[in-house]
Amino acid sequence: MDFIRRLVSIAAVAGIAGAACAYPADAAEAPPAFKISAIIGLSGPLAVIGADMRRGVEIALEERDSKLNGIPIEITWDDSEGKPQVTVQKASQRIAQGTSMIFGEIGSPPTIALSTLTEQREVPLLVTFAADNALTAPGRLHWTFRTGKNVSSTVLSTAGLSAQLHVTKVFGITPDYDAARDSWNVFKTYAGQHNIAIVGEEFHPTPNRDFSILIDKAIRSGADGLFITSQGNDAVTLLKQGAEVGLKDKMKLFGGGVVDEVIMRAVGAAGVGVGSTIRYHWSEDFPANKAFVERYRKKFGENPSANAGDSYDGMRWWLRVVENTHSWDKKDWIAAMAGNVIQDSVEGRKEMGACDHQARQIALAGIGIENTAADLPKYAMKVTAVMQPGEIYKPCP
Amino acid sequence: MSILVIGLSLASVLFLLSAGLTLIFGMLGVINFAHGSFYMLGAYVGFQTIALSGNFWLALLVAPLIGGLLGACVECAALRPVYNREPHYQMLLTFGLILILEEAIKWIWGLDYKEVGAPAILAAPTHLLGATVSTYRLFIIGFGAMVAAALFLALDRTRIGVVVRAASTDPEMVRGLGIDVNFVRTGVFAFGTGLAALGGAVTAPLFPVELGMGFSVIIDCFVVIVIGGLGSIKGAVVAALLLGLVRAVAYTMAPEWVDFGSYTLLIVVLLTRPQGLFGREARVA
Repeated sequence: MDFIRRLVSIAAVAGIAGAACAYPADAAEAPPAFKISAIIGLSGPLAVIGADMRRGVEIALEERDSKLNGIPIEITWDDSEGKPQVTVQKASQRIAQGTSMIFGEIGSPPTIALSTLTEQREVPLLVTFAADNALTAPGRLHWTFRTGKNVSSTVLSTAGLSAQLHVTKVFGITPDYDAARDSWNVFKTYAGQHNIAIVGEEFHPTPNRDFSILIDKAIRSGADGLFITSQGNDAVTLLKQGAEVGLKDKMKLFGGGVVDEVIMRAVGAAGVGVGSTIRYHWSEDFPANKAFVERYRKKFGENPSANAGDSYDGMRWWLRVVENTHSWDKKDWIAAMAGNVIQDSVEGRKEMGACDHQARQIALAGIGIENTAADLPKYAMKVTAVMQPGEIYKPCP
Repeated sequence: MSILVIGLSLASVLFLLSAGLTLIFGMLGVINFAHGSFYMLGAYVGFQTIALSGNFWLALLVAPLIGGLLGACVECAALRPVYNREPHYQMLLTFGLILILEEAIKWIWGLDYKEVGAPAILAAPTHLLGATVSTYRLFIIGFGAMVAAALFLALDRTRIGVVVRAASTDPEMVRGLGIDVNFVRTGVFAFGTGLAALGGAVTAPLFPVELGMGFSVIIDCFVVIVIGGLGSIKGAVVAALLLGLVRAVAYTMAPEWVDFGSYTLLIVVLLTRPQGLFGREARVA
């Protein structure tokens, strides 16, 4: 009897030890739900971006039946209105309610404000849109990961575009804020190394309602290329007002993310021929992308935008990493994401930099086109170049 | 030359946007915070009209009609009951109207940008005195001048103008003369919102047509009517010209300081003439 009791005890100890091996010793107890707090602009001019980001994330969650290691994923959507103070206020509320992670914001200033908060409160922050280099400066932020592109990689891709467009004299129009000025400075350095003359530069307030005088200055400068850092509404205004004086006929227009398929719908013919980096494109030839596009079309009846694709891919990657840790300890997720490699993203291989938490990935460049096929949007983007990660990102030491 | 044209076109756009707002305040004493939303509605109606008919000029007729009609409904159903209450009731009401109109536009047209281009006849640039200028901007300058002239004539030289001015000064006396003051007020509000919608349609080829476009113009409108003097059409014309030219010069010299230039002008006017350039001084007891 004693022998049997001893055998049962040994088996029980062995079982507990086995379970302990299967799950890390420091794993916290499973919470009732994995809570994602998405804080993005869902109203006003940002609504068009926010809505697409939301669609992308929804697909990423649906693919896994909104579950993570057996517990349900609960997502809440808060409208940041694109303002840093609103973003931080809503994030603070969600952190107090025990959120597992935060997804957001859209613009760089609110995202930087958000990253300061998540750093203090030790909550993971997933960024797919904001591009300011400061968010992924080496060794700066421990809890922030960016799966989208940063300013430097975008500008270097744009620089590649300038070679493709054969411009030799460039005028720059840039919004007057840090990330945009950084972009322009990176381009100027590239231009200096590649015999491209900078013939003028202008900085404008943002949002800006009139570009006509800046356009006039660009035309008078004798430039054969206009580098545009303005995005969103400013890009639409600039291109529409440029069309008034035939700007496209006088010089090549190009910039980092100046046009995408959303902007093309706003500017129409004024965007045809404009060169731009593309954050993501539904036509990318990767199995994961084809599956995503098919699912997206089935659900929403159209091709995913760059914002939807980026958000889907970032959330899908992050959730997979968290799942593979089999842990509910946030520190384990951070350790696993830093340096992680995903082979089957919608854009092929991506590697999360261990030194800066910035994803190394391919970059696309293309031009605005007019489609003649009836089943495609009349104005869209065509990918003309693919840059490899080695060309646009510095490796981690 | 192009700076002058651009300055005048900026002024014309500012006047078209603020004329309705100052008219409504001048005649009814209502600060219509939803003015920007009527402007946005005009741009969307313009887009829809062009999409259905392919005719830009038709959009300039349909947009103010729809804007005016909706304005009339709002005045009858919502504003009329609060005329005799504290002014903040009117402010809250028009602020609520912003949210309703934005949601309605989102529901009808979705979140996407809408494309509105200049009509083909005005799309190509014009070469004027050695400068290349936008033909559409020349049209905007002429159009703004025409609207301003029509407003002056309507208010100063017609019987309708006399009735409207009288109704704003002494409604009881006007009512005693057998004139339906409520009808006059509805007409003025509808005309003001119609003007806002017209501004949205006519400037749609220059700016993004998207949700939130109303917010971006309302501040400009208030700057114009505060500089010009609340309720003064003449003031709105002069303030728009002043502001348009200041902006054109600021864009030429230091574009990143253009907002600084605009608000400095506002502060200078407020410090030296608090009632605005053509506003009436408030009587102090």
